[in-house]
Amino acid sequence: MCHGKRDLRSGDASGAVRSLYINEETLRGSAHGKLTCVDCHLDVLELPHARKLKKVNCIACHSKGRTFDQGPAIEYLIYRDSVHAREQQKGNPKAPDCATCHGSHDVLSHADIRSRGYRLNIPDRMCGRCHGQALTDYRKSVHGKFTTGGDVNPPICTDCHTEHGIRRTVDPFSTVYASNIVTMCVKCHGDFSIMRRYGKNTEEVETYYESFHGVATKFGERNIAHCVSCHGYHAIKARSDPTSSINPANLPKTCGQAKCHPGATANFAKGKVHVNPKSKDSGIIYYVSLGFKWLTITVLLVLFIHIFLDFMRKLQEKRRKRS
Amino acid sequence: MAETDTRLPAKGGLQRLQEELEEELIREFGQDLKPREAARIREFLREEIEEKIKVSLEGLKRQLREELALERERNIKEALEGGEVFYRFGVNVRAQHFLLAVSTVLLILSGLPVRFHDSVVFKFIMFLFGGIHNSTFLHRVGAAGLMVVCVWHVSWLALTREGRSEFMALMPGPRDLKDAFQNIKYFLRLSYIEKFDYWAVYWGVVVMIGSGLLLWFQDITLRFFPKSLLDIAKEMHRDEALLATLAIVVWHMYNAHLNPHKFPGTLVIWNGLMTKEEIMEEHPLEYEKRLKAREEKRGHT
Repeated sequence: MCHGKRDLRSGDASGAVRSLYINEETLRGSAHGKLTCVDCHLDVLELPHARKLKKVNCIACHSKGRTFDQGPAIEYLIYRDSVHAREQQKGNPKAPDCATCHGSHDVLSHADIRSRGYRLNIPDRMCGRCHGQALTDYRKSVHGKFTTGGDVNPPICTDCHTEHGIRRTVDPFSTVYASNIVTMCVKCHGDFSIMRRYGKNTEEVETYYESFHGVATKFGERNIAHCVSCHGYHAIKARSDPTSSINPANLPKTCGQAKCHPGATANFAKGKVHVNPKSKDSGIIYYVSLGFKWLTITVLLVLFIHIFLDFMRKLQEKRRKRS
Repeated sequence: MAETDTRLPAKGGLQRLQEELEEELIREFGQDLKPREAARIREFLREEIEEKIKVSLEGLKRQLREELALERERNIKEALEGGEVFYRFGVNVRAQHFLLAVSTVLLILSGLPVRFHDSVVFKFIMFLFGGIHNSTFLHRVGAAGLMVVCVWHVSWLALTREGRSEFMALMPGPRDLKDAFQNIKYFLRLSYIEKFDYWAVYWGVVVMIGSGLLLWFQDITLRFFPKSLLDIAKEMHRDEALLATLAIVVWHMYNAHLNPHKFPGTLVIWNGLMTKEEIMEEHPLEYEKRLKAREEKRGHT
């Protein structure tokens, strides 16, 4: 048919030219290979069809066996509240709909390695096409370096931002909102079986929860340091990396943000940040903690013994007085 | 008055007054009173008298209260002179203890939720505070109270004669050690318990205020010292906090409240008074000293 010709184009008043060629092989190889054109392009009633066609309505089919009353698939319902859908409702032409991310004639299952939705393709072929700066930063990060190397475990965009229900960072329902971000990071960094594979442990999470920053976050304070405040978000880098925000040389700047500890000196970098008083590596703090532990135990033991003896004696006296 | 009626009974004084008034009026008019007039006289008298008594009753009550208070004071004075009751703590000491107690409770309540952030109880307390913003502010208020007590107490020790003599009395001596050992053998109650309380506060206050100030003004601290010092301060602050809280709860609670001799508590820290039995029981040396002092005084006069 017409769309099989490689030189089929359309132009509009502004002079922009759009290719209208569709590779039939791609379509046949896609998840929708068994469908015909008009299964999706429902408003094509005659040929040649009208010049302007409506956008394809994916949820006409993608309702996962639901009846009409039950409404569309849950993915769509989640998407409807996302920042992308809201922007689209506002009329932003750049806001993505289903086809923007999933593709149109080349839709493939996310399990297919050629698919845009395949785990390791998501940063480059889905999100990064619009969010270029985020992709650049992510590729420099520890997470990005691992995924570039083909490791499927480290987080990609959707692991933190979710897939369909992406919201702004200032939205309290967002997974990356200040009160929720710690839970997001702890999903992996608090899981020893995951961290072990990368030669790390979960000490950072535990010590953060015990620190004043962690306690305040737990009690709902938002203007306080959480993981992202120090480590960055897309460009999270190892401490040894000189460009990392947590490299000792950069710590004064990181801690000294206007909202936090303005005027922070190099002293901020002297000493461990995630200190664990129970670990011997912490030096003096470990011995202070140990000393206080035994002091408390000894003092209380002596006090209890004293109280117990005194109590027994006084009970005896009372009984003697009564008789 | 046995009657529940708040109005005065018609018989007795009121009846008499009414009869007198009626007789006078009969004499004046030269004829009997009409029933309506008699009723009006009764009503008038009743109202007037009730009003008058009410007014004078207020004054009487006040007078009675004053007299009773005076008598009580006199009783205490007599008891003090007669050696039945002793003044143990002056107003100054009691006020210091009050501020210390209030600050400490405030510090414990606003501090422990930070340490035990997973516990439901402390989460609830934090909820009552209305968030960590308020609790940290109140923690600093408590800290200020504690520091005021310290300065107050030390200057009281240095500047007043009462303070100096109390301080000397609180100095631990070999007798305390002997008492403690004897106590464990035989259990005589002596004042080393209170001395321990007193000196434990010094240790606690020095550690808590020292590390607390470093943490409070952390930006200044970090200008001069490495972060590891703050970490040490923090560890000391939270560990000593637990020790002090437990010591107060266990030791102070028992000695001042749950002890079978004192249950449910003694008023000495509020009114400064101690009975003869109490002072003989707990401070026999002090009792002897006081007795001797009084006898000398009597001998002089």
